Amino acid sequence: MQISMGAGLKMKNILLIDDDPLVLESISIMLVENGYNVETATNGELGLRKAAEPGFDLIITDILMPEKDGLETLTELKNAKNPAKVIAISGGGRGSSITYLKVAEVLGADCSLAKPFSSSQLITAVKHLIN
Amino acid sequence: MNSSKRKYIFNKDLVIATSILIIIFILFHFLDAFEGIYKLTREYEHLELDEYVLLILSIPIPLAWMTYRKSREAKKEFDQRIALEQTLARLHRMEALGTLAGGMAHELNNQLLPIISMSEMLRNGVVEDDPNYRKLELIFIAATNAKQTVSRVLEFSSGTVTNDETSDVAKTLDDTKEMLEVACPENIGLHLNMEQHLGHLNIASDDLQSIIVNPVVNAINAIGKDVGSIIVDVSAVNIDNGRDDLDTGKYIKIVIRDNGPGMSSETAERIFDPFFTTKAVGEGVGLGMAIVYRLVKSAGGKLFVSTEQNKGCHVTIYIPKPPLTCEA
Ligand SMILES: Nc1ncnc2c1ncn2[C@@H]1O[C@H](COP(=O)(O)OP(=O)(O)OP(=O)(O)O)[C@@H](O)[C@H]1O
Ligand SMILES: [Mg+2]
Repeated sequence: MQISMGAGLKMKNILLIDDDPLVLESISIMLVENGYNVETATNGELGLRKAAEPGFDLIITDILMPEKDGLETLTELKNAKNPAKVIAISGGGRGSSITYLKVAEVLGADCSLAKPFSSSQLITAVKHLIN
Repeated sequence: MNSSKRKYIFNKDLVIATSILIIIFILFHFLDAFEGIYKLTREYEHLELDEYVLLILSIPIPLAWMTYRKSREAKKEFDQRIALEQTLARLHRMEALGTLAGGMAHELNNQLLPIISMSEMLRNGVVEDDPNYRKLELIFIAATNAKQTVSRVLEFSSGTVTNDETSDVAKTLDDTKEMLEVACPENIGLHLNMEQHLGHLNIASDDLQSIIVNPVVNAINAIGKDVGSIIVDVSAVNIDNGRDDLDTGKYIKIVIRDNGPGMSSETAERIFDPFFTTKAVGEGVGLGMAIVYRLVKSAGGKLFVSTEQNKGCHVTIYIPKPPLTCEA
């Protein structure tokens, strides 16, 4: 897979924030198998700390997490000096996931995906933003 | 329970009242009361006591009338209270179910993500004549179906209209028509008649679409493989005579009629209950009409279902038009 990316290309770095470990691992697998470098964080707080390190091309964050509200996380991510591209993902809560995702886009997410998505949907979105 | 207690009190009261009458009668009998009064009135004839005695005797007549009026009022109020309480209880039940369903849907969406994405990746890595291909595909399809069910539940749990969106009724209907024509099998004739100049409504066009599509899909399912027809009429109406218990004003009226098998009154009574379905597992979640109910109610409208076994089904929906709109 990595070879198909072309030898001269640097591997893209993606930060993934989600509180559900199975989701986190699944999305990591999808991304890694498609030739991306993945760092993970299990809540918004940790995510923001990692995001402060430079070098991320893309951040994928859940917007409904217990520790730190996902929408808050999103706002802070987008307030950084050189904000990375952000994909908001959500499984919906009280309201429909669509509503949350709409809000996320208003808050500056570059793209949003409703859970559960397939690997092809995810990769299409990622490629669209950072390739 | 409540009403049986009331009946009991009523019977006890009756027994007490009768006993009092009997006791009074016995007392009067022993005291020779009438004889006494007779003597008294004769003795003081100049006081005209007869009339007073008669007056006292007739006091219960207006009293009985007043009691009757009061009890009728009380019963009316009681009935209103009961109806109100039932509506509230129903709303609370829906609210609670909605919250529950929303929370559950969120969990399920997360739990489905690894199943859907990982089975898809595995399947894509396997050639089609590999015996495992079909197995992986089954997992993927089943999980994708589950995702659909969850999204239906989510749609229900968030089924209140956000009034900050408006929709062009005619345009929404055009889109809906296209979609329904694709979904409608050939044995069923689908006719959508709409007036011109329907204007706008204060609900999102997705919601308006949902209000029409759900009853139509029900009609398609109900007619099944028989030959049948579904007619959707959309018109703008002015209500000023309290028809169908509606407030005076302008409404968009939507009627969906089918000539399918209809429903028994037991089924019709529960048609708006969330998760009530007569369909087989996997064919219906039982949320279609519950969603329509919530959407129409939160848009301030009313809806009615009239049906009889073997006589098809009519769904009538009124949605109030926004008071001040600049309509082209
Ligand atoms: N036009 C109709 N004719 C006959 N029966 C109907 C009609 N519309 C609804 N029903 C009955 O009312 C029930 C409830 O309808 P509702 O749309 O709420 O749920 P559903 O169609 O069973 O499931 P879902 O819409 O969530 O897929 C149906 O299962 C069916 O028995
Ligand atoms: Mg239905």
